[in-house]
Amino acid sequence: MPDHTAVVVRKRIVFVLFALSLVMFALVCRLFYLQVIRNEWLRQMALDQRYATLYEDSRRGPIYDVRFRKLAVSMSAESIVAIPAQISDARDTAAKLSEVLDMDYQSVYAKLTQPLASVYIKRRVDQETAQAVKELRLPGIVFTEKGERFYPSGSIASHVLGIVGTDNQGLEGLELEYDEYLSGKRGRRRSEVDARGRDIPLGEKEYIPPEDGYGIVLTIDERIQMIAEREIERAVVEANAARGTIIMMNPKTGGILALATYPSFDLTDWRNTTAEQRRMWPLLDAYEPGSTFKIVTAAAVLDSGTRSVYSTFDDIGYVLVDGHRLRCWRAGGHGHQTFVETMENSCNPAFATYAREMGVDVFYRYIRAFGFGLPTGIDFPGDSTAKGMLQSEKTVGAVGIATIGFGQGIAVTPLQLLQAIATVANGGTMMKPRLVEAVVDERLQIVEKFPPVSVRQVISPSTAQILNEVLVSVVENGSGTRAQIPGYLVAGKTGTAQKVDHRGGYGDKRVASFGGYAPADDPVVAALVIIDEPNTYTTYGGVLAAPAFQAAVSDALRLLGVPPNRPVAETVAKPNQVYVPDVRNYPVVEAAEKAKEAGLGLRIVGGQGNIVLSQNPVPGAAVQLNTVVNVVVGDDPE
Amino acid sequence: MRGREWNIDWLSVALCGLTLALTAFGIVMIYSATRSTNLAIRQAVWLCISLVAFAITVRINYVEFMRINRYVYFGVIALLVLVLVPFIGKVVNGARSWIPVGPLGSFQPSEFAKVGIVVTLGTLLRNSHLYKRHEVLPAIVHVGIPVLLILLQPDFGTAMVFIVVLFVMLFVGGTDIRWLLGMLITGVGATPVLIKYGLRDYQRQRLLVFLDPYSDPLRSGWNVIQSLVSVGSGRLFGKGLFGSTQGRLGFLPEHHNDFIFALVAEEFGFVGSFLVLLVYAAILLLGIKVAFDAKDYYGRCIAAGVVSMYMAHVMINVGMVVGLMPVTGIPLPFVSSGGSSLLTNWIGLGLLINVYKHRVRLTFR
Repeated sequence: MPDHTAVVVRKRIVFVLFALSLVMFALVCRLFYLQVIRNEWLRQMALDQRYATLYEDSRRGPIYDVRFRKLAVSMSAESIVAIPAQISDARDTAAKLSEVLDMDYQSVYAKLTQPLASVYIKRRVDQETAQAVKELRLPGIVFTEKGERFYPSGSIASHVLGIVGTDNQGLEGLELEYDEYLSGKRGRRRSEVDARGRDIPLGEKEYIPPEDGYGIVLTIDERIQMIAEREIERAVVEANAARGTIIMMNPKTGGILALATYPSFDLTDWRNTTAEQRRMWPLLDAYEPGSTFKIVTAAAVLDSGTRSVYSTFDDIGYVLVDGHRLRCWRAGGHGHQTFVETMENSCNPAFATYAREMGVDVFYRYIRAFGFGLPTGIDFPGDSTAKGMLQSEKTVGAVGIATIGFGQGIAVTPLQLLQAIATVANGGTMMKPRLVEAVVDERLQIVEKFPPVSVRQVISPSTAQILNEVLVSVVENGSGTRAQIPGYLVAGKTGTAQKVDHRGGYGDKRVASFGGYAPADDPVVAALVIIDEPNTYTTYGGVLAAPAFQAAVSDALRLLGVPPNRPVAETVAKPNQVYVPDVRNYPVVEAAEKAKEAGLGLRIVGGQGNIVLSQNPVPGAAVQLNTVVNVVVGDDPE
Repeated sequence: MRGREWNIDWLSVALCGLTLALTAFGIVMIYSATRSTNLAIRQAVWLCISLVAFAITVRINYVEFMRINRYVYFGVIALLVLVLVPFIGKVVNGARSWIPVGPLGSFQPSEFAKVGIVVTLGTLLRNSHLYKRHEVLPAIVHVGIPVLLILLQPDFGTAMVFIVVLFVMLFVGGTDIRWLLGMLITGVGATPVLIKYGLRDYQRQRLLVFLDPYSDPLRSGWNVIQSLVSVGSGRLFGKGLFGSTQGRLGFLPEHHNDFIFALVAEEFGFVGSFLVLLVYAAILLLGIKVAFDAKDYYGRCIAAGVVSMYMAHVMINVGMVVGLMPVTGIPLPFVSSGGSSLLTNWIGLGLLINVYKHRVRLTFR
């Protein structure tokens, strides 16, 4: 008896069937979306949480000097790591570990019970300690190798090399600039774990070994660097100055041969130094150059044809500019002078006049062409912001341009100034300063080479030649006589700049400097010496900085094998000159005796151990009696 | 005579075969999930008990159930009250839903309540139908009382199943569509109020993480995310039987139980999980055919109730695993571990076979 409702009911059953199909279809669509369309993303998520990864540091590449002497190397030291999930008895483990490692029980226990995949118990333990811990065979305690920086020659060129952090990352200096090459690729060890982080015994394991970093080869020569460091230390100490720097550069390639600052800092103890102490101020911080900048003014005035080298200038002791009197440093003035004499005398009114004669546009074109107001492009962190300070052409004014003529009212970095001096030395072609010559692999095969880069021709070769003779004359006859090196022709310029004090005016603080190059007839070394805030009876650059230039450059020339080409009649052996004995590979005590026999002192400047590894000055060098021989010691390599 | 009456027909064979296959598959999956024979064996024992209960259910003519209707209903209510009593009812995962029964694990009254309510609601509807009173209110009260008791446990998911069952049975039972629409609108309207005042904090949290699992990925959102990761990592063909890592490594919780479908999806991929859903679709289709062919109104109601019960479970459970539904702990029929659930579902199957046995035969004898 099919009544009405039975039909309705059956219709509705069909409707339920329809609803059911819809639900099923929705579920299948969703499954398709998750499993076929989005699966890659979800699968990766599943993989990621299934694996625990332990990273293994790569060994950081070494830093070599230009002769492949190792300045910084990384040795691996083992670090002890705990995997808390795998530790069965945290109390027992903590007790044993704290005893062997000489650590506080509570702190070890706290580390072992942290809810982390892995935690460092102690970084960089020595071999015996690591062995002792290994012999305990504690579950969940593993070892990773951590690279540690060692400095075989002691802490030299600290500011250049820079520092490395705990996790093998370059933090400052070249370690930072070339971190990408030096750091290598860290390896990793992945193992399958469960949700609690426990290793699965038969789970998948994967090991990717670390790739060691490349080495970098500096343009710096370790021997010249040592000389520079010795000389700047001596100069700063003798001048009782705040700080000082010597930068030496090959004017033909732009390669930095030495970059020494004093005070320096100990690379192995950098954590106890401030960022200010580690700051590479010779590259990054600007100062008012004073008279050394007259090289630029002279180059501009000669190259632009504004004046010839045969022109003359009458100095009455001052020059009037817009009603301001710009005085000469010598009361009463220098009187009638040739162009060369204005440079020899470092006559301010003359250079103020030269600058005004050129006019703002011409002078600024040369200032910019010499690289002032621009980064030098050196491969060092922070270079891009180290531009110095150049007033705007529009606001500089007549007085401003006149003072820039003798190096005031403009701020330059020491490196910018040296680059300008090197440009004159290189026949007017400016080279980009460089610190790194090449990147090499562990077999010293070159991976990447950084060739010299010429930036631009700033002045003509003929102008450079004329200016060269002017600068030689400054050293031969003028304010720079203390820079003379027997046997070589030296060109250069002294500078004694006043420092702007905190009130914005010129106080009694000075910067003494000397910039120049040698041999002037075929320059090999261009150098700039800066003595900041000397505190002695005299503050003249010609007195304080020129001797350091002389000492450093003469030693460098000898080391570089540049033969003297000038009569050395006046340079007969002085009565109190001695030759340095070879004390390398001697025990320290014997080395000290040998030095004493020769009439020299001995000082340990780096390293730890009983054997002398290197010495400075090098064996055979002719030095003054009672000179101190700096040595780096270490343990017997065998 | 009984032998002649109990004709072996293709539908019953197919229905039983599919269900048995699903249960066996479930036992294998439980083993894969736990990597121990304990729960798998327990499930097999429960399958034996279920088969006995199934046989009994099939033997009694379903019309007889009307006679014991009252006892069944009050028995259900009594059990649901009993489980709420501390010391008798056991709390698992925050819900007092279980009564321990020794070596067989626990017994979950709300599971049995499902078939009980299907049968008794069928009686209620049949009686009102008989006397042409299409009243909805008694039906709502009839289901409402056990639902309230279950919400007290609290077991939101099972309560939802009851509501789906009520709705489908009323619909199939021929209730005026306006009544049903009214119920639906009231229900939707009451939802915000319910969420605000009726839900416990953890339930509200589950709803929130359903909307955005990454709002709390390590706690409330964990289940959802891990479930999705399991399902997705199975890809097209899965990692193979016993090849799952998510469940085995402890990332996926309740993987032998409420989240077992995630494990199926991980081990057998889209193809496998699609096949499993196809089996469910087939079972439900056959169930609907049973309702369609039922001899009388009562049989039709019972069949519709059982089908809707299965359907609600599959929808809510799989929906939860694939992130389409909020997390509510209800099992996947025949597959999830759990004796009460298995027994209930087999009794339900018994009811279907029973109704079909007494169907209207189109062929004349």
